[in-house]
Amino acid sequence: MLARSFASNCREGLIATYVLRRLLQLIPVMLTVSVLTFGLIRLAPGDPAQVALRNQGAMLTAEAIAQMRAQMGLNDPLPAQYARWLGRALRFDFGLSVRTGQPVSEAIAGRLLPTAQLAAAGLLIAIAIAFPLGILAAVRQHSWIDHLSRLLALAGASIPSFWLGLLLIYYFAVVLDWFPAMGRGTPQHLALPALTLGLGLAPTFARLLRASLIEVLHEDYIRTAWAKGANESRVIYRHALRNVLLPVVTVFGLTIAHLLGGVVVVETIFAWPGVGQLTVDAILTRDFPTVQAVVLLLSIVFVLANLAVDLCYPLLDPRVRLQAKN
Amino acid sequence: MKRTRSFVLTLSIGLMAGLLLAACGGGAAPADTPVPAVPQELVIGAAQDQYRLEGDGANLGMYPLNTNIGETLFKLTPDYKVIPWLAESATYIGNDTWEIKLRQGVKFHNGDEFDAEAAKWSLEKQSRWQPLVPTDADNIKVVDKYTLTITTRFPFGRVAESLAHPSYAMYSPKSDPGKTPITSGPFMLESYKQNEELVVVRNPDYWGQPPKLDKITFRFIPDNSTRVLALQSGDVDLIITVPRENAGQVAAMKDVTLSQAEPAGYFALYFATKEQVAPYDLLTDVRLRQAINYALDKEAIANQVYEGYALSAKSITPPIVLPAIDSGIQGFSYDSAKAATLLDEAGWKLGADGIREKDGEKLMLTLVSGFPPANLIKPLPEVVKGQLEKAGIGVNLVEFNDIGAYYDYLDTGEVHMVIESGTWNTADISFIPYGLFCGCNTEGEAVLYKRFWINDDFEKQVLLSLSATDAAEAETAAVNAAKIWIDEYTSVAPIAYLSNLYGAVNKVKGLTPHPSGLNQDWSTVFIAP
Repeated sequence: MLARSFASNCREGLIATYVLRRLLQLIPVMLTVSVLTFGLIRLAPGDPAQVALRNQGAMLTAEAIAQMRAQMGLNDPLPAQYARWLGRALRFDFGLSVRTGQPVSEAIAGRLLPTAQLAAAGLLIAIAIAFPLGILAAVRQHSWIDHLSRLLALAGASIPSFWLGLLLIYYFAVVLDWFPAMGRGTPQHLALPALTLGLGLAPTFARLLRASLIEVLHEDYIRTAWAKGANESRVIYRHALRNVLLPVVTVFGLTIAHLLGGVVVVETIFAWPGVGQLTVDAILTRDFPTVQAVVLLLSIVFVLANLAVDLCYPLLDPRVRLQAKN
Repeated sequence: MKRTRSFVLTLSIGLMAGLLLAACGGGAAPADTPVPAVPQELVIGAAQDQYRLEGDGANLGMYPLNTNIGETLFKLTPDYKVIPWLAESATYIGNDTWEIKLRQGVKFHNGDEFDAEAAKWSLEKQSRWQPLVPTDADNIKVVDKYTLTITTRFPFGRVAESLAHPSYAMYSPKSDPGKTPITSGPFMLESYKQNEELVVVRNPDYWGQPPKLDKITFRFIPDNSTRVLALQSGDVDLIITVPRENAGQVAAMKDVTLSQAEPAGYFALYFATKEQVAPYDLLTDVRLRQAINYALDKEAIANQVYEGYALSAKSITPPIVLPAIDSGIQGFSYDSAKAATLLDEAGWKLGADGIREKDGEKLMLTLVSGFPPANLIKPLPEVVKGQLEKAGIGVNLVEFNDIGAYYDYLDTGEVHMVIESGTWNTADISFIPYGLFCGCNTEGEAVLYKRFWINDDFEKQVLLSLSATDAAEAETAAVNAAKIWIDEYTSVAPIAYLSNLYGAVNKVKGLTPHPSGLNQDWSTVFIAP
């Protein structure tokens, strides 16, 4: 039934129209992000030309500074600088890294896959922990499982990910020698960083799932299902859970920002060579071109992820109709 | 109800099983596996990857992490002697010109011969980037196959010392120093994954004493705590730059040894005495500067803040860089009574709250911390503040985690003193005085430190230590400059000499920790059975 309604939407071209409209809405959003990214970095104290020279270990003579300012286009009016930067950014040309000298787009491209692997693994672990925990807590409300899930949620929200990461390294790498302490290369290398990320996200999903499920389990249609003789599994998985997925998936989209932030910390702790570690490096060395490019990229990821979440709604809820006029 | 519980139980067991299965590929070998001969392979945990990969500054494998794939014309030994290496000699021939005679019979890793053309190419590359030797491409000339000359822009006697810096590595002109460096060192580059690891292997055709290791893997681990844990877990065999706060932990680890190099770094206060406007001109009074020196308990700082892994400092120049410094200057030791006397003489009387005052004004000094970034040197500024407040000197601490913001703040002049550290990665005895404190230096970072300059006598001695072609004359001038710097003008308060710390598992032998981490020699290291 779900597939039929989705197919029906497709035949009507409503999905395509909706996607196109949402993509067009991306333009003003991204323009705003680009202005903010460009402007805020320019507000940071210090002369970017001097910073670039210092990073290069070059001499800080008045002549060298003037030359670097001209080279970086810093003498032009700010709108002209922005227009030039934006024009290049649209061609994925973010200039050269002040620190390494390599093209920024090349540096980022090399880091995307590790970050994607880590984020995906972290998310899977979060879901694998959150779903059983949330369901059990809802079904066995006020039991020890419920209390435990609340405790874990509090712990997960309170424990900083860098501390959790170091703790996991100590116990699983040093004491038990089950996993490598850092680095990338094998699935074992992914385990601890993904677990750190997942444990940070799981509490949010678990608590939301619990709250939503408790609410749904009191609905009339659930009572009807019980009355018709459905067993517990059928009631929860066939009737209740599907109605709970909508808010959970919505929160999932918003959690992407938390995920990306967590990735920054986790990658640094575990020496995972991803975009997060690149960002930290770029900020510490005032590598403006890299910082600008990463912020822009992460904004695009966040917006596209939420678009993908919106597109899931018709799949999850056949009552959602994508009207052309909306 | 039962089904739900069993499903959840199954899922949980599955999750645990997954984790356990993933773990099964690592860990200890089974007990019945025969013990192999000891492979001569070392894994080193380094800090973050800081290589430049493009342009004239490209330095893969050389700087700041020196993997020994490249070599310089001169070499800085662990006792800070500069010895001929790829060059046999550097001779001053007049008119600010030095003649460099090269070693013959040295081959690059691709089999090409090292000659004057390759040396010129390498020197020109560096002259366009970070020239420690003040020259340019037009003034580096090939005389014959193994001889070249360098003419400096001004009298410069520290040529050999400067050419020992790893940024002056010698490359084949066919190199791409950021991707495929072709060099001559005891190790060759095997592979490089940016921000992950760099692997070098033994050069079987090395011209000098062959290295003992077959392979070294340098793993980049930016986080200090993770690097220490990696040593503890056995993921790495050795870590470089053990942070101060982890030194005790590493020293206490089972089967691990903490090694300490001779100190080549320092921490000090610099006093702003030039171009200062009230109320930031208080330290123009030399009695206050001397009082601050007497008020600092440097032994306590070395023992407590650095847990004994530092030495109290008499000067900015550690003895290993300039051995004559210790006997050449008097310095200041902790003497709270003398500090009090000087402050009294200067008219600063003890107030009711313990802070001295004069004409109704409190003695409040602004101490700025920003190089290195403030978060990296805590709690040293707070300890200094506490010690000075005990002497009745109020301290307003201003901290920056960003170097650009720090230098911007210094420009405002709202500073009495700064706390900074530095490392002598060179045997050039004029390096720090000329680099930071000499108004005579119009090309470098000295302009950023104009408020901390000294006087004409100091600059005269610094220029002499920089230009003298005779080493003894240069050393005498450097000691004379230090006398003015520390004893007479007292423009700084040296606090501690700092050492490089290395942590290694006990099977790693032959390591001689170099005071300058940039010049660490890995060729003597081996793995014991």
